[in-house]
Amino acid sequence: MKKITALLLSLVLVLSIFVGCGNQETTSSEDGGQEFKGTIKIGGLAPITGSYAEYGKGFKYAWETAIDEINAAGGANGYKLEIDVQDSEGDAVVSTTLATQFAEDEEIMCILGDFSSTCCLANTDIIERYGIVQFSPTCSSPVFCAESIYNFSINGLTSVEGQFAAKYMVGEYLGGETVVILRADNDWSEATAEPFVEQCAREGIEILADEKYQLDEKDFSSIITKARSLDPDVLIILDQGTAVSAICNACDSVGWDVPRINIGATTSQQVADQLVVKNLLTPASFFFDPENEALENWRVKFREDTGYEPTSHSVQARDTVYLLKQAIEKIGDGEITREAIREGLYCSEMDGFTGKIIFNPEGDITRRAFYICGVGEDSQWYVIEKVEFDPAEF
Amino acid sequence: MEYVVNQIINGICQGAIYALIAIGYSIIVGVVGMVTFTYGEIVMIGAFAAYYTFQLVGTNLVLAILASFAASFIVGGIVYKLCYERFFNSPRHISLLCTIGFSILIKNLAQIIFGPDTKPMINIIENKSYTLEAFGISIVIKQLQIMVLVLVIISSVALTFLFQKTKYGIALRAVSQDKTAAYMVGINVRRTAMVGNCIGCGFGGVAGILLSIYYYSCSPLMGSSFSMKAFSSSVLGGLVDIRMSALGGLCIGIIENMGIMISSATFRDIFAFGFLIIVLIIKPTGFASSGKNRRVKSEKG
Repeated sequence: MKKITALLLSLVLVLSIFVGCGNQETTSSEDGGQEFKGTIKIGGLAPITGSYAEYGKGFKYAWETAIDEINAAGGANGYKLEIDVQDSEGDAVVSTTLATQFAEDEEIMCILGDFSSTCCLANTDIIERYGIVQFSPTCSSPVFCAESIYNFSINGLTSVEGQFAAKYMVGEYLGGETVVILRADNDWSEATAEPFVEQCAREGIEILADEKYQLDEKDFSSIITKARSLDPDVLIILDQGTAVSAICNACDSVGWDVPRINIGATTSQQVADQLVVKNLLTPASFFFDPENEALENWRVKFREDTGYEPTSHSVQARDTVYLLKQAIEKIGDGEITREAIREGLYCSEMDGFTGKIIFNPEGDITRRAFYICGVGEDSQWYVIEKVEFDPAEF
Repeated sequence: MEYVVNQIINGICQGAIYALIAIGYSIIVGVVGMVTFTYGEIVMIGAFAAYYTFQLVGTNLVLAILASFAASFIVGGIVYKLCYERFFNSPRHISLLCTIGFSILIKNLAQIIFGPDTKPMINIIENKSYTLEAFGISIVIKQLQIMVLVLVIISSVALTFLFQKTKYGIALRAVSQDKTAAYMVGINVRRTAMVGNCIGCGFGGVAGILLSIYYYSCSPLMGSSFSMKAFSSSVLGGLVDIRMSALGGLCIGIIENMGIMISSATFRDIFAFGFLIIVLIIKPTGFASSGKNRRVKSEKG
């Protein structure tokens, strides 16, 4: 009997050791000579394939390299970070499926991503139900952060971008009095178009047409013919994907050289490469400053590793990881939980590559400057003008 | 008025693209006797073959068309061997499911091999448009649109000649109508069906290069949206009639653009598929004569 009791006790002891290994707080792990308190797993949602692949691949690269840097420097608050990046294809259905998988995995402490506002908004109910942070580098919907305390973004609101484009780009820079809007039929473009139209009304700019098209639209000849027949001073394209260059090329193929402004794709290299005639302007909240050595080194390495230029979206993705690191550090010796990360993020702020990041009470940030950028003949983006503004003026 | 005419021109040109894809589709359905779901991917393979030809040898359109035709012809052969030949005597849905699976496989392999990005295909053909003045109306037509239209007409005429006037074409039609009877008169049914399938795929490849030049880009997912329109055009033309499938494509293109003219581009598919449904309700055989459709029915058993 004593032998059996001893055997059972030994078994319980051995089992308890194994059970303890699953607890981040009590064990240590070792990686490349580094001692860590444990591992914090993060889920990553990015459109690695599809129309937004350029951004999704940029996200993946930026997240993984930032995590490698943090781990090499001792981790976040002594914890090793690990990210599992999944391809959401820029599709809300795929994104919600993956978000559910991450949310149901109790080891995942936070979700980074997704790219588009459509996907991020679709995931909101899921992350709210499971109580896990969804930290998007690029979601710009004005309702995103307001909808859930678990939603965070560092993009700034698309509504402000739309108002900025109406006032400073159409009105002041181009001096346009009439515009035609072409936009993808999704909630992001809806959220951008509405404030843009309102600002145009305030500036005395007439909207001749607001034309929507399907997300997978390939042929723009008919809507270009329609837009051209109205003879606007400026053509506004609200889209984030390759449709931007397709629309510009459709204009050029019929010899229509109207000035074009895109809101959404920012300084996308893919869009610039695909333009037949380099006639496109865009507002960008961030532009690579060659005098910032750390940023320039990051950009060079990005280009060497991926073969293309990073967009501001990739840089924002990098900043999300460093903000998350700071949130984990704010937890200190407390238990690393999803809720603790959410609370830590709220009081995190930093000078990132994309500038000073301070969350407002809703978990979003407010931009106070935009660059007006244009594509050069060498398919590179250039800053035409930096405009600082007070968001209250809108 | 000028606006309406220009929209009709846009519709004809867009329809010509659908027609070009539908022609190849009709050959495959006609010869093999089964619907395929890999056709969009065949179109994509043709586009990428052209893209890499341009990368390797510069802007040589003839060589690119040959490369596209060859690449799609070969992939068509693989599709035939894997999805059709083994299942000639099996229930039809087996081949159908095989083509769906193969389509997903090609799409994913393409994303791995070519990368998921959209590749630019700019400055292949001079970006030139012509403005015609008639009755006080200015009509703008692109050089590439003329090229696509001409190619559709040439393809339709050439394939009609091949099918009606040549011995090999007659063999293809015989296989299309009744495989057993064709076998009994000494036709090598399997080889004929395979070559017919490959020719159809080759035309898909040529459509792929034109599509990518027309839209200045190619991507692994480009075929999906066009394959559904090609299928609809083919159905509208009675599935196996090449000239009527081309006409079906043209009609869908024009109807779509007329719809966009009076409403919004988001309703493009509603007009296209609405038109298809109305035509099929009124005339279930589509544009093809009922005799041809009877032939398909009896072949399908």
